[in-house]
Amino acid sequence: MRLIKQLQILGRWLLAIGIGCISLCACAEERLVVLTSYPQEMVSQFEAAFEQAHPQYRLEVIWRQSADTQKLLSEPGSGDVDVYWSPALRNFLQLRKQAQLRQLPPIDGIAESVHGVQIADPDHYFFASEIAGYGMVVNPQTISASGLPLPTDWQDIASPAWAGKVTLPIPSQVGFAPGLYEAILGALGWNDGWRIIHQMAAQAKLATAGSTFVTDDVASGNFAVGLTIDFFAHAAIANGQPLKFVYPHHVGYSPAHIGILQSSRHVAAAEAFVAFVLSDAGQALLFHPDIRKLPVRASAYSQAPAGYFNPFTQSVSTANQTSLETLLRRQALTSAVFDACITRPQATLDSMWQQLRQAEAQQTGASPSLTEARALAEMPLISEREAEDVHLQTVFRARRENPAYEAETAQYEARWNQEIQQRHARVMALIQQKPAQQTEATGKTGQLTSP
Amino acid sequence: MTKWGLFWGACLGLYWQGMPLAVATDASAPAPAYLREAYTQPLPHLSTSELERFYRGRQLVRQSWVIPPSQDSAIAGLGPLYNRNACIACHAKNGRGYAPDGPEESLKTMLVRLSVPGVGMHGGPVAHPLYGDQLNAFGVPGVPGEGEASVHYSTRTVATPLGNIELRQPHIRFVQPAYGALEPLMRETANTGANSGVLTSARIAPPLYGTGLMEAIPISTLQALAKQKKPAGIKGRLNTVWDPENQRMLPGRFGWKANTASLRLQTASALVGDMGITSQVFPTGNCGRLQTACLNTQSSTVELQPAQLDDMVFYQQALAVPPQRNTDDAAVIRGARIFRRAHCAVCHVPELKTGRDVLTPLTNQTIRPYTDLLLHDMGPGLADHRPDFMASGSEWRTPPLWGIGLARIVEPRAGFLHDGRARSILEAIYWHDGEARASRAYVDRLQKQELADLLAFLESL
Repeated sequence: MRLIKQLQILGRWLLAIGIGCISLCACAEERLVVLTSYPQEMVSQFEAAFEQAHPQYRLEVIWRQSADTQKLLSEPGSGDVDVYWSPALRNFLQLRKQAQLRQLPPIDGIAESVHGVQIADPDHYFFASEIAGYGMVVNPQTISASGLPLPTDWQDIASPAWAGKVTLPIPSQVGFAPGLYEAILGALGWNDGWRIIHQMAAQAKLATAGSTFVTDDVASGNFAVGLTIDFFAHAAIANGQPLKFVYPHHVGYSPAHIGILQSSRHVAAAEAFVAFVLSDAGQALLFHPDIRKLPVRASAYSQAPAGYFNPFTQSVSTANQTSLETLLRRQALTSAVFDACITRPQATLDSMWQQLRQAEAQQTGASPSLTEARALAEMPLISEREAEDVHLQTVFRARRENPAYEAETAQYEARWNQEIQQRHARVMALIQQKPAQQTEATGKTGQLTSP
Repeated sequence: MTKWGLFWGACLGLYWQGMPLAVATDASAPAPAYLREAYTQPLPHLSTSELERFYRGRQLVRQSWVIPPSQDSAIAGLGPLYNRNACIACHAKNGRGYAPDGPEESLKTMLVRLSVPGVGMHGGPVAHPLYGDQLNAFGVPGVPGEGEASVHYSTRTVATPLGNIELRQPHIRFVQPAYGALEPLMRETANTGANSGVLTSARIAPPLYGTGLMEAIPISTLQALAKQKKPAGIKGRLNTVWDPENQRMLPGRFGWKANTASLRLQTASALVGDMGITSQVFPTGNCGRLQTACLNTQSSTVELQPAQLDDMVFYQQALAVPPQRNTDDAAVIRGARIFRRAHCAVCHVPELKTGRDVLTPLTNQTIRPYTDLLLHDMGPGLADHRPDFMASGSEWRTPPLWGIGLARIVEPRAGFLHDGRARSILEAIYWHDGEARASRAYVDRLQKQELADLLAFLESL
């Protein structure tokens, strides 16, 4: 009996070892750590498809917001990260500058520019993995009920007819929005761009990074139009929301990128992941109803759902975005200017524009004061030349990391606040001047003029 | 009702009233796109402030959580050990999870519960001394993940009037356990009948919608259902479980074995168990008592703010249930009749009433959850041999069937039964045994059209 029992125990151990070996053979795999800021809906699709294509690798996804990434990657071992995959161009440029990325071989069929806009690193330290375009999500039913035409470009929603029907993201608070306003400024030029932004903001609700989606707000009919990035709208449409997305004539694009960390200890696995993301199969995942981003592999569009936007054949890009650096260099400054002239004074801005438009509507002849008031109301807070000042761009871009920059930007902002207040006061004064000037011009009520 | 609510109401109403039935009768036709969001809609009649709270909760449920330290302190707290980093990684669009198709595939929306034989302090399972009560595949930097579980299947073919189906029995194996062997013999979970060694139970993520309404069913109703005399050998009893927050025993109603008393406990338990996020309910994290690196990394402060937990719970409470579709369809009507005749409705109780609830839209509602929330012995084929409070190794809570017909529209791989072994409702029916044996026998006698009608009814839910 004792022998039998010992044999049974031995058998159990041998079986255990055997099962262990079988399990190891079947399931032992190499861990691959991917750092991303993509939402779970997108991560889940790529994770499952990559694992199916490469069962020898196990994906471990670490999530960080883009702004929270640099610290992790600057730590020794970079948090064990092998691949960085994110819509965070600034981080990629920084990693490249710090020599933290591995140079990759050229990859056939992957776009490195779209309509002259560079989207990949010229030296292949990172590639674009997808792009997204800025535009307008619209509720056709709400617009139709208002008797308005569907907008086709940014200028179309700047008229007073759209008052209360538009929602705009605040660029300093909504992650994708700085690029959106740069796209408008790039398409229309600095002065005309700000003129349109001011006109839109005069009648819009400003949206923060709150818990509701712009697509919820527009689908519910609370707003007819929302300025946004295409995939939010297209995913909502693919999930049944009664919306459309309008790409303006000049489309501004926001590329996302992928690169391998120099410190990666799983280079083969990392290369397999990058190759998969950029393959036809990986790029086709971008068509998933919960993702709806634009592939950078032109051949992938042959698998696209009907009516899918193709940036390689359907649009011209924003003219002045020619390099990766120009996509970013001004964004922090532009966002700060937006806050100074639109976000902070929003309450007085609404009232000022209302009175200006009312006065203009009542005006019967030429009114130099109203013309001046409007020019002042639409004028950019800083000139294009100032906006191109490298020092100014730098202090706003790096204000959080450098106390001296923070102090300097605070001074700028205080000065801008004052300037905006004065400008509004002047606009209001010019509006008030209107009757007197009209009287002077027509000479009908002489008693109001000075002797 | 909000405009958005009205929109959804209109869409689902239209669908219900006769739009082409893609789900039940024509698998080749694409389902209307809005049905993909069928489990994400708020209850009607929420106030503006309630809707804002609903959206705040939605944001947190969708949130990918971050390993601390992080400058995003409000969403930091993942780990030291975890399975996934977001609720929706397992509950995609608030729906159910699925099982891997084989050992090559990792567990993405499924977890493995662990314990050792015995009864814990409050009558619950005894956690594994090394690995705790759940295997966590991942660890934060410096803390090894616990290893992986892989799923192997043995299969058998069953002839049905609608053709042969393959039933797959899952067997769990552990791969590269990082903190030492779970036991000398890596034992498979199913059909061993053993109650020694490590007890394991694989569970897919359950759906989140309708849980507020289920919580609003009075205990007295459930007690009455338990006492009710039932036909065909069907019994049914309430689980009684420990509420660690209020330090008392309560009837269980959530979880595959009804091992959790409230949605708040269920949420906090999933946060700490699946993601390692501590809350005021579970302030001490998920490290095993011998996992030194984990214990040294574990935050000493609670990671989830009380308001965040409240918002996440509120979001789930306020999730609406999609209405039944195609109720006028002749096949659906016939199928409902078969459902009753087969005694399915004895456990999958079609209609219940909610009581008073803090949330008005949950109060005094007549609901159609198709569950009694009671434990039933489902036979050896489904048994996990892992008792959980009062639930034996072969007892499972009747899962609600509302919304089940949309499961694979929301998540194309959605699984059925506790471990997702069933890839279709038909497979799930053929796994019924134990107290459901008479019902299964009734189904076995159905003609082809009758079985199709039964499925049409279930797909309409």
